[in-house]
Amino acid sequence: MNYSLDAVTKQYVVRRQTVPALESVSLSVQKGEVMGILGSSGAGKTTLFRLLNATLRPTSGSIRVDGCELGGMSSGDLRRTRRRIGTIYQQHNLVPSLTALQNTLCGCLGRWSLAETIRSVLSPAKADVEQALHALELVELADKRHARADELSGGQQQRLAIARVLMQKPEVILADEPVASLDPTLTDGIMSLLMRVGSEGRRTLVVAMHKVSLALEYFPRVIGLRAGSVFFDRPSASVAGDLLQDLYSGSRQESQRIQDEDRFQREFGCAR
Amino acid sequence: MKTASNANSAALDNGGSYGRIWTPQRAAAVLAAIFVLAICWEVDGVRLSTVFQPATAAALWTFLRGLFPPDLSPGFLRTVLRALISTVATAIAGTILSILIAVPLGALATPILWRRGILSAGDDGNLTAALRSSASRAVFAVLGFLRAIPDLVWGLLFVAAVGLGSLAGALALAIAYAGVLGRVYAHAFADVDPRPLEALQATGATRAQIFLRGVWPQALPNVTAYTLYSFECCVRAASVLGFVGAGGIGYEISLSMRLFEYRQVMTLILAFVLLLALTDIVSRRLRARLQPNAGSTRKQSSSKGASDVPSKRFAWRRAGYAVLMVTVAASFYLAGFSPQHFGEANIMNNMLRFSRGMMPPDFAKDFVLSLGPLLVQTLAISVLGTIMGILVGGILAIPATSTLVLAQRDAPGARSSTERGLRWSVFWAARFALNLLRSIPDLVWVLICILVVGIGPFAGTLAIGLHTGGVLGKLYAEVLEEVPRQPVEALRALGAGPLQLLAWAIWPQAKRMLASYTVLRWETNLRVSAILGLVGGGGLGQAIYNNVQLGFYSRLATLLLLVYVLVIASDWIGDTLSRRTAGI
Repeated sequence: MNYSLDAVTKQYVVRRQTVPALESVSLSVQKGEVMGILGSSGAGKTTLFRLLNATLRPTSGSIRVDGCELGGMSSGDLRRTRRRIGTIYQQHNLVPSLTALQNTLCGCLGRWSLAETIRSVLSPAKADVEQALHALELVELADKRHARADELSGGQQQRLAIARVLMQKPEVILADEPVASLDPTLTDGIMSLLMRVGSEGRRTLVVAMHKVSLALEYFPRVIGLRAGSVFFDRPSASVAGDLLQDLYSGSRQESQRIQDEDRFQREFGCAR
Repeated sequence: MKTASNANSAALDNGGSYGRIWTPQRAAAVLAAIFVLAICWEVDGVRLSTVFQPATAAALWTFLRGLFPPDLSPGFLRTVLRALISTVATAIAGTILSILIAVPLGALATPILWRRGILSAGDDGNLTAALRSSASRAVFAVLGFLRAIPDLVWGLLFVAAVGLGSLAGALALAIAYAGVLGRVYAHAFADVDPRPLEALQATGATRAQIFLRGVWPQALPNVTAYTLYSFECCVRAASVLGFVGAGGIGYEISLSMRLFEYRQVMTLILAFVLLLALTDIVSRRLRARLQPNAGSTRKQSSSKGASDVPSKRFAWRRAGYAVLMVTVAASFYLAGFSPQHFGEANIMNNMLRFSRGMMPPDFAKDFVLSLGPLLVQTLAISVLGTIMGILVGGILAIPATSTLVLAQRDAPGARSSTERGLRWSVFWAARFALNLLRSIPDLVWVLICILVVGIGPFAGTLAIGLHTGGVLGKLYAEVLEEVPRQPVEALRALGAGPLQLLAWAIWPQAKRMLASYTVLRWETNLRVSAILGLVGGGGLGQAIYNNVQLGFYSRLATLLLLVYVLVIASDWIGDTLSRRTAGI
């Protein structure tokens, strides 16, 4: 799957005030590419992900997926596009009262018909359950398959979110801060799992994080986002220290942005 | 759904049975449900054939056509206005009286003052303490009894004791809501911080002083909020009490209904809905103003203003109190609390005679046995009515859930204006239908259903089903809209459609709330089904009505006890069920 973003701007309106999140972002991602996105909190990473997984409409600019403009798609086309893009959320976004197995099965929703969905609520098909168990084994959660999602630890929830994406069999995987809440040992495990999943079947892999060393270690291409626009976009070998310094420099604009972010979170109850 | 989800995980547990939809547990649950349904169906005398007869459709059509246009002639509007004023006056007088009864009783029933905790620690174990403790418990039980007898039954009793009119209504509200408020107050009093009370006791204060200076000030915000809410309920109840002859707008509705003046019925129902909406707005405004945190910011800002024009603010406040006092006095007068009225009707004597007639309750074997079928019928009405309400409400709630139906505002993609318009109209049509079902009181639904299927339990069942459908549908839609949104977002992002979102992301998160709302509503419906008979909807109410009319007061006393037991039992079943549903 190829992405091309052209002059994409996204603004939120909070209490009749316009809060910019992304300003004129242009970039392209080739099929099978593996890349990291760096930036401090509030730089617009999460907004960029929502645009990439076709759940958010940009205020202006165009997003093309394999040459098709997202803005012109019907609801059905949009769903078919979303099915091809897997997202791993920062807060995992699992359904808390479903078991690990049931959460994994949710990955199939995009390809299930209505009849299959109804059936799956009562009792899912054997083939699907076997696939889901296989996915859970890959993330080493097979023994937790009957535990509710909200009974799992943070690292386990993270792996469960990956299992759901595996079940979805997407062409692109977007991961938003997949290791932000994990300790170093778990971090290595999750990162290598992600890389393995990405390299299987030449999936496009886009990972947002704010740990610079990790990003430079794992990703050949790195994009730096600052204050809602692309600050740099280059091979990780050529990302130098002063560039990073500037990326994270705490300008006044930055602290304003963090305030906006806080207000937004209060308003909508989720990260932007 | 508890059984279903258990069966689901059971099916997943043993490796061989993936894909089996019919597990033994599920089959048993379905069979049991069919069995219960069949019994209720039989007892309620459900005759679907009647509903789908051409004659029924014709009767319904005549009724619906008869409603339009509403009667807006000046003469009738004057009647409506008088009925509205009398309804509000009854509600105000009833609320004030109920507060006067509920505050002392609530204080007496408060455990922390009389029974346990730091205040009673000093004199634990002696006889006075034991007496005090049991007296307090007894008061709590009395409040429970007052609350358990439905307001409509109190209305019927007072109509029999003091005659037709608002006076009976106000007295009925006073007693019924004294029970409700007394218990709520007792809880509010029990929730206060006990440490200040301890300090007051250490200064040598009596219990009355501790109550006035320690408990009351702490509980006041809650007490005010509950009282306003109770006033809202009183307005609703005062409107409905007229169905048993206790004055107000309900009396006019039942009169016009009996005279087949449907155009007047329409006007009255419109006036009724308007009155409820107005009360709702006024009380919400007042409550928002009285909310503790809102109040503190207001106080800060107004204390600045206060230094500027203190005298003006006092003048306003004094004027406000004066208006309030005049309104209350006028309400009492309009509700029939005038000296000559009390003297003329010889009300005190009547009430004494009435209560003496109720002692002792009639426990003759034949009579008690004859109550069995009525009790079963009452239960069956509540069960079938609730199930019908779940179906109606569930079907209407899905299109009334904005997150499922309305287009996501910030989602990409092209949406034609036809699609958007279609979604919009489906959503608002469902909302409108729910509000219509909900805002017409269940007793009015009984009268309407009687027109269609005739007097009897079937009419009562239909009425409960329709009203409950509206109530539950609105609650369901709210619950579905308010589930945590991150999982919904995740599933939408991987390509799930609206029904899949409902099944996999919303339902699992919402089912606990949905179940507990449904159980609560069934509890309410059980109470309602005990009184539907007062207007011809079958069940125990029919017997209560007959015995009041015939003057068999000792049998009436037995029936009241039965209603009390029924309500206590439903409380207990409701508690147990909601504790169990909390586990799914």
